[in-house]
Amino acid sequence: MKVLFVTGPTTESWYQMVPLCQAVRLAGHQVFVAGHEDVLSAVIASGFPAVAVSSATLPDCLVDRRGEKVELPIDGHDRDLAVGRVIGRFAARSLDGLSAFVEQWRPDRVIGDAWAPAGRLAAHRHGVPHVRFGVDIATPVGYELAAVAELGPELEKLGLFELPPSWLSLSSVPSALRPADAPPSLPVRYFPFETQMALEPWMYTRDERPRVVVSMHDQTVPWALFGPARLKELMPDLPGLDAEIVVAASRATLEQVGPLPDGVRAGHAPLAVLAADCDLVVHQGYPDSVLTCLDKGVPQVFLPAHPGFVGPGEQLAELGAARVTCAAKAVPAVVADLCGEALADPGAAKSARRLRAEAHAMPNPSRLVERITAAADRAEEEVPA
Amino acid sequence: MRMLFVAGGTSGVIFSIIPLAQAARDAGHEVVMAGPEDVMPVITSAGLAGVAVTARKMLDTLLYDDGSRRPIPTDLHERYIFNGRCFGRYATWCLDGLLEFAGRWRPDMVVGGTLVFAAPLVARHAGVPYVKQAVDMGEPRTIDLAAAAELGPCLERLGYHEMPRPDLFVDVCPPSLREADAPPAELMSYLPYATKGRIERWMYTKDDRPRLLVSAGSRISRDRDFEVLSGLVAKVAALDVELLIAAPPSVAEALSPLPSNARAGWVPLDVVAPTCDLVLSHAGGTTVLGNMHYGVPQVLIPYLPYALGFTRRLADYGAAKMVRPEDDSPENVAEACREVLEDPSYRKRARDIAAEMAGLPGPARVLGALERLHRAPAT
Repeated sequence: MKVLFVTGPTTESWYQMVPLCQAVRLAGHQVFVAGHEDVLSAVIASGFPAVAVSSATLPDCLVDRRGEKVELPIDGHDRDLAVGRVIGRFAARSLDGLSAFVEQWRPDRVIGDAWAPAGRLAAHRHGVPHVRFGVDIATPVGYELAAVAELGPELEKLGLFELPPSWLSLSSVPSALRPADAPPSLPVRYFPFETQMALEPWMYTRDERPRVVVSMHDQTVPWALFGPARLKELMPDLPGLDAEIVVAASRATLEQVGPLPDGVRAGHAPLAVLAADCDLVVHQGYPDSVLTCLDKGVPQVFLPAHPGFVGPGEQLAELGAARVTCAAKAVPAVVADLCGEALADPGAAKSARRLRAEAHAMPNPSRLVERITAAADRAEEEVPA
Repeated sequence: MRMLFVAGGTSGVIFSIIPLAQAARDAGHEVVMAGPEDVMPVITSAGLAGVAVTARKMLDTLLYDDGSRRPIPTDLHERYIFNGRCFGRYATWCLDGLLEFAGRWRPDMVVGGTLVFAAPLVARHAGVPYVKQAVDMGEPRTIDLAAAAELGPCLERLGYHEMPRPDLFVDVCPPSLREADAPPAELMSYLPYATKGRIERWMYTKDDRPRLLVSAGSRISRDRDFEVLSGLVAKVAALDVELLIAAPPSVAEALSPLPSNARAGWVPLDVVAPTCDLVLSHAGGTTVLGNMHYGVPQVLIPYLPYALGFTRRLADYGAAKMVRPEDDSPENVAEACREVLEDPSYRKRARDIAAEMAGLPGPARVLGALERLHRAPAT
């Protein structure tokens, strides 16, 4: 069977699909991955044939259809709508390329990121069953609805009044974090996937002190209000914790933030490797960071990069596995206190381990391959060619 | 069964769903029409039980919370998004009152007009079928999509990942004018409804000059769209016709002095339209449908962008002539009126479409489809 994966607008949206993509290929199917040019190097580096369908990047879509720069509101509902419209514009700009490719290559399935509505439209247009893949964390339903509203002119051209339903939906959100407004989906376990490098001993060995990992995420979404620099500003009191402080970031981000406080070790290391053996992760709330911590059963401190990342932190805080504070208002002492509190709280580690057990009980991607490639009778009814 | 009709925020869109509500009541169903406080008289004067669900007004959706005006975009796409968000905002204002009422009254079915986005939510919440009825010949889909986006927080609160779809769509657009990709629907004959008053002789009789009715809709006031109406009047003032101008009393007064061949005031469409040779209007949805029902040819200037689609379709059909808003000089408008008055093909096509509309099932028959939906096992 020919299976086309469609990436979302960010590198991590591709990474979160890789385990499923590998499972499909390992079952003997032919796999291509379509995405915008920016994400192709990551696709190729993960070992998949990649097809460029657009040269637009997410930041390009901060300019609206009239060519005017969009100011994103700082907070609230208007902000969610504006963010959703950015995603919609991104989809609008990849639709023609994607649709042409689907027509040419004729895949039997299109498996698309939840933030890639263009994949759903292209699949519908060519009568191919569409499988939605989402992590469904920090993605309020308003994002998708606003993206679809932005796509109104494209829907009209296709003779549609709404985004056509997917044939199947898969979701990696553990049930404890599942938002009420997430679409009904089959669960699929999340496996951390990220850029790999040769490991060095400091990454997987530790001293006798507690280990705190600070994950500086690349600023991959243009609507982030706080980048790695803000994380650095909030770090100075961490070395006073009587813990080993380790910063993980890409080379580019490390260069960008410059020298870190004394007593902090920093390097380009996979978060999953560090998180596997540490006591606490401080991060900015990006869904891949959250899910990696859940997968490794480690408590988390959230300094959310934007308001959309606050919700999952609060949910985890309620379950005892996280602490959250506002990256805008926090001061270094508060961040250090929160970390100290989380380290001293045996309930946090216990709750994180319980959530890990729950996440690990979700079916592996390989178990879903058969379902994805099963005869799509239903799809043929729902998705007229 | 207990049927909850959900009204929109302005009289025109309520007029459109009154015939089906009346037919339901007359068939023995319990009917309540819910809507904002300010339209209660429209509902109750149609002999229907009304329930007020919000004190806020539709027009307030154009304002920020501090009372200042939201800027209205001129770009078409942005305008549709803006309009849709206004309808969505309005639905959020109505929703709590509706949910509360539905919780107490327990309807068996919810019927809502298009652009009444609280209706599908209350139906889903109550676990009963949702019937959508078109109030005109359709709006650009981006408006619906943007309304849904505006309702995102409500969907989130209710735990829905999308807007609930209608279990039945009742459309009033005659088949010849439906868009090629229009969704499947139960078609219903559109019956004009308007508030009633004492009628006078001039309304149902005419002299030997052609009779031209100028209308800018029922919502017009001194502050709202007045220039649209006065502009239309000025453009046709020189025509050798009997000129009728539909206007509430205060607006009629402000239009004076009028040309000697003109009369302005309350014009009940159902009485006057059959005597008209031509209607000139801003292409408001119910104005256009009402005149189609009476077989009157029309000259339409779609000042509201949502009207562009159906205006074009009616013009292509040959029952109307469209003047684009950017071409609305007095010469062009007068010339368009002259053409429609002199060329009998417009009258013929207008009568054709009226006949087509009359041939569609009326509300009492379409009600049967709603009753079947009620009896069908829930899916």
